[in-house]
Amino acid sequence: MKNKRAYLGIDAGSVSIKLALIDENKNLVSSTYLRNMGLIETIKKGLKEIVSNINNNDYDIRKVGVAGSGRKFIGKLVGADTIETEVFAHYVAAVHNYPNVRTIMDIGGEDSKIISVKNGILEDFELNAVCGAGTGSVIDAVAARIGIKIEEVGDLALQSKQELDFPGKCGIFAQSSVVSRLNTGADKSDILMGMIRALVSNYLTLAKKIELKEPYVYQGATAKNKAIVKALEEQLGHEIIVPEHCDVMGAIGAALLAKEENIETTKFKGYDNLLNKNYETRTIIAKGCENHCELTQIYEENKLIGIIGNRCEKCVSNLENILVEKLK
Amino acid sequence: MEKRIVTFPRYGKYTEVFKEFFESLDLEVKLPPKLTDRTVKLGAKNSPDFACFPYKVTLGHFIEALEQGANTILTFSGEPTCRFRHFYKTQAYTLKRLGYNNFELYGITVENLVPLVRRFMNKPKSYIEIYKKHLVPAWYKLKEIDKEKMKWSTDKSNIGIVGQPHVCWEERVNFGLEDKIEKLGARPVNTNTLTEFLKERADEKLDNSFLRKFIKFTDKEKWSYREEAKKYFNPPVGGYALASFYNLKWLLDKKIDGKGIDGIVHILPLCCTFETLIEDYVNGFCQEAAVPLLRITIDENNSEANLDTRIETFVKLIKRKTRK
Repeated sequence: MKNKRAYLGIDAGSVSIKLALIDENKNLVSSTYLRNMGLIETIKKGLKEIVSNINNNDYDIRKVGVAGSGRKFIGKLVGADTIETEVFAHYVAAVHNYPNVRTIMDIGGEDSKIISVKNGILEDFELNAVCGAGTGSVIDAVAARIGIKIEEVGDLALQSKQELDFPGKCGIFAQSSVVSRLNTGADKSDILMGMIRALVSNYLTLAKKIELKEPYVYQGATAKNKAIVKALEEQLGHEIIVPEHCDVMGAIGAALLAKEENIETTKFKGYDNLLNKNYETRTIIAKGCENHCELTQIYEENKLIGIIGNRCEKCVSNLENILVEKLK
Repeated sequence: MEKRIVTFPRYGKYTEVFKEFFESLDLEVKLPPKLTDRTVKLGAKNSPDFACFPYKVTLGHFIEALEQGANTILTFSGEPTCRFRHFYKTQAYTLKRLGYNNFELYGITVENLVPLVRRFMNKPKSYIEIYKKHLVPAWYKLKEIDKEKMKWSTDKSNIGIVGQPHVCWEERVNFGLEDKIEKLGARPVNTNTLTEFLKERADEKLDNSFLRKFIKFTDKEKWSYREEAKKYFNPPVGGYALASFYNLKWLLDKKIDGKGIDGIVHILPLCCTFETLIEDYVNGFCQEAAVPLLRITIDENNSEANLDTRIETFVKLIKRKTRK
């Protein structure tokens, strides 16, 4: 008998996908963090993991919330009750855990953000614009270049004894200066720490229009990298709080947002449906107007369940009409 | 030239008014196709790397218009805009190097528009006729559009837009910023309007007494903000920075039924010298007034998903804030 209510949150980012399950008292029951290897596959895998962590029979998923750059797609796929941006999800999760927080920091895979909060209310935020400089992918690229696993970067960088200067703005330039440092015999730990300092100072330039105030909460998977935390503390001159479940905070926020939502019945398709049915996507270029939108159609067992990527309703309603006619 | 086919870059909602104006003078008009990825790619490929986005977009428009058979290109020019006033010359040079020879490219200003148009006509109408029967009605149509752009809402959150003209006007360039804000349930107040842009130009230098009667700064409230803003920029700053500056100040002070502006969007092309110059003022003034600010820089590398996230979060932030 499924007697405990649970709420699922999914944060579908560009690099990773996070899932979190919370209970009636907003406590985390189960969570998982996966590299994004294609949204549909990864979501299925994530659901499996989250179920295997708990006793499935106890929990009944009442509502589902999604966030992240893949939110529209995932929202259609799983049947989400709330679809919010990752900024909101991170804010909600941080305020839930730390009601006094003033500054929330997140360095993600391809984006980074700074959120400022006052009296528990979202005041302002800044996302990196134009390119991915100063984001986690720079560390990824450099670590790969010098043959180190991303998980080991933090510990190795902390062993650094010498300060080296690196350009922090562009990942490509950073890599080439890493090569020239390697060629002159610099220590890997010094290179990594130098890179991380450059990345952090570049990240903090985001905050030009935001006043940085303590307490600081740093969340997102990169918060597990102790070297980044150290560099941030150095440059801010203040201690930083890293939540225990820093890597899945976005998903926890999405779950909290879903729980808040006032609805009768969930749109969630259920574990069994999602795990057992066949999902696929087809992409077409719409020809209805000069927009030429790239439409991604999502199919469930060869049945169209949703379209994303449309700027207006013209072609979408046409497609759905065609489909309805075919079914007749 | 056998038969003139007039074209000009698309400037959002104003495009149709220009088209009607030229057509009412019996000129054939061929608009460039609406902005697509192709337009941007064509423009970016043939422009200097760090030229601003409006330069690239207008060049892309010209190439696509020439492909469709247009031969007379008109584009904004005239003092005291930014480098934009030189664009038509370098762009004409680029187009010639690309192999387009059968075209003429004119930079139009408030003053030379009517003399230029008369030259295009087989049987030129009199100046007075063009002014009274064609230009004045067009001016009122533009005013109508701008009134709508500037409207404040009494029940929704109002979000002010300041920034560079081209990115404020053309919906394809700013990814439908106003529509997006509207769809999310707030009211965009776009202060960057063509009529005010022309008044800006006319104020500096306009000898034509007939035009002066129409195109002049009549908004006394804004006039005082404009005079105040001039103190910050001496010698004159150029571009649209002065207007962005006083529009921002005006927005932050404005109260309608005791309700002020709820948020500001500052939108600019990447590397825009003038808008970048005032960035710190914009940051500071918004912080002092405790009004949330969203800055959007536009260039060919923008992803709409990133922009959607930012706009959606921004509008929701404001709606939550005003509810409490």
